[in-house]
Amino acid sequence: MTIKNIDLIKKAQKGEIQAFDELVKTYDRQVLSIALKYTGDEDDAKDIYQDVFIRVYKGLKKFEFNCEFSTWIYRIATNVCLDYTKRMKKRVFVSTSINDDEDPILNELPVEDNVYEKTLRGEISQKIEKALESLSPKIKMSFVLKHFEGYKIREIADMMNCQEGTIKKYLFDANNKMKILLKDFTNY
Amino acid sequence: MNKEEIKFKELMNLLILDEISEEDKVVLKQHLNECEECKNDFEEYNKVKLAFSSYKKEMVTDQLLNEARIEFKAHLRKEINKGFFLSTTIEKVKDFIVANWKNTIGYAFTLSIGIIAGTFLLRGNETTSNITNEPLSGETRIQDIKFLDSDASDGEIEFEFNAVKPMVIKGNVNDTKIQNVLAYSMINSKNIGTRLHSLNVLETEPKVLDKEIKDALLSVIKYDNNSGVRKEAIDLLKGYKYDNSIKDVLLYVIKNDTVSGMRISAINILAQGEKERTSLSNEDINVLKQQIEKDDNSYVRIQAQTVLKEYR
Repeated sequence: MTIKNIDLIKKAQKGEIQAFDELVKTYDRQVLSIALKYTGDEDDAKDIYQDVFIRVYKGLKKFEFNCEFSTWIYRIATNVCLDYTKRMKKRVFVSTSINDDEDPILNELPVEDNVYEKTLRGEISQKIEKALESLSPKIKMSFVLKHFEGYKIREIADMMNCQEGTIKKYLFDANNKMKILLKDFTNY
Repeated sequence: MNKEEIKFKELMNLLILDEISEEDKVVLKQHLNECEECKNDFEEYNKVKLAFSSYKKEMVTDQLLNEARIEFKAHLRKEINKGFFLSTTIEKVKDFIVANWKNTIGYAFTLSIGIIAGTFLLRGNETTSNITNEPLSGETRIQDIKFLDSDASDGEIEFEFNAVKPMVIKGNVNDTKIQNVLAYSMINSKNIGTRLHSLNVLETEPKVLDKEIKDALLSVIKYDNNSGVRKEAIDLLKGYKYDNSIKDVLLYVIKNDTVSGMRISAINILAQGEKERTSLSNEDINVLKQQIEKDDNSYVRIQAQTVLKEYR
């Protein structure tokens, strides 16, 4: 943490909105990136962004400089993403598709996630997305942080507030599952 | 699966994740050359990895980021208006009293002793004066209107603004409320003249040594974008007892301020301060050494050498 960042955090903790604004701008692109890669949807990513920074704002006074500020923020981001998954599962979706013979699983997805809207992205992308959706939230989060955001296992463990061994297990499980799921589709 | 198979499976996963050590990499590669089954297994893992690398991930565009920021600002304003800090403070006080009732009783007792003692001891020495707060004519003015959403096609628009009610406050410069306003004015006033006025007050009333004022001064020295204001602030530092917080700010100025006058003032105060106490860490010494080498002002270079020499 730089001296400037520490000063900014302290000012923001005292209630200086400008300092808080500057802090947000330092980290928000990365937060939005994590949210977007986790959800695959821009609107959901923006919702997660709002949630994350409201929680940062509310919890800022409790931050005691016992870890990197970035770790603290990204930890909040991963938790919000995981909470989001729980909320999504409780939703009831109504399919707006006119095709009666669609895969019934697709009817449970929000309209924005309908795979027919994504055909232009390529067959592999569709397969990967479907495989990602089948992962449990924590495994999916570890997977996104590792493969799409490039974090190390140690960093992911910090962000998800668990042991490195746990993250290794999540990632191994993800790799193994992906290996099986992608093998079942057309050979690539 | 036996232990060895499990071990190699783990190594394969670590290799796919780019988290394998060099030694384990060698061991794994050797094994893959010898074991056909593991080699095939590894090929499958590798296909998955290649698939990820060709997958087009959603990227954050500037437009998306700006939309998120605008929405967040509106959201944040609502939170601020809810009086969030007041309600959490009340919650914290409640929690503290319930969780630490013994300490709370102790603190309350000590506080009451202090109040009684203070009333008797300080009765004849009041430095606080009557503060008068009077609203001017009572008009609230709107300032700094900004559109958050000017697209009226959905029937709604949204903007934010500051509602400002002019106030007058008058009192003794040593009073806490006055000092809070001074500190705020020093840092936040957009008008350079106002910031200078705030500093000039301190010049005429040097006995004001409040921590809030000192912190504000240090912040002005580091971050004010007007060099005249920063110079005024750094000159006032001489009225304060030299300590580590002052030292850190002086070193910051020596390293970062682009105005040579500021760096000269900083190094002079540092030299004087360090004569009385030796408090330079290795990092501080490195800052001075860097300035000896690269500062474009010869006086700063010479003074930095002097400080280091005396320190040794």
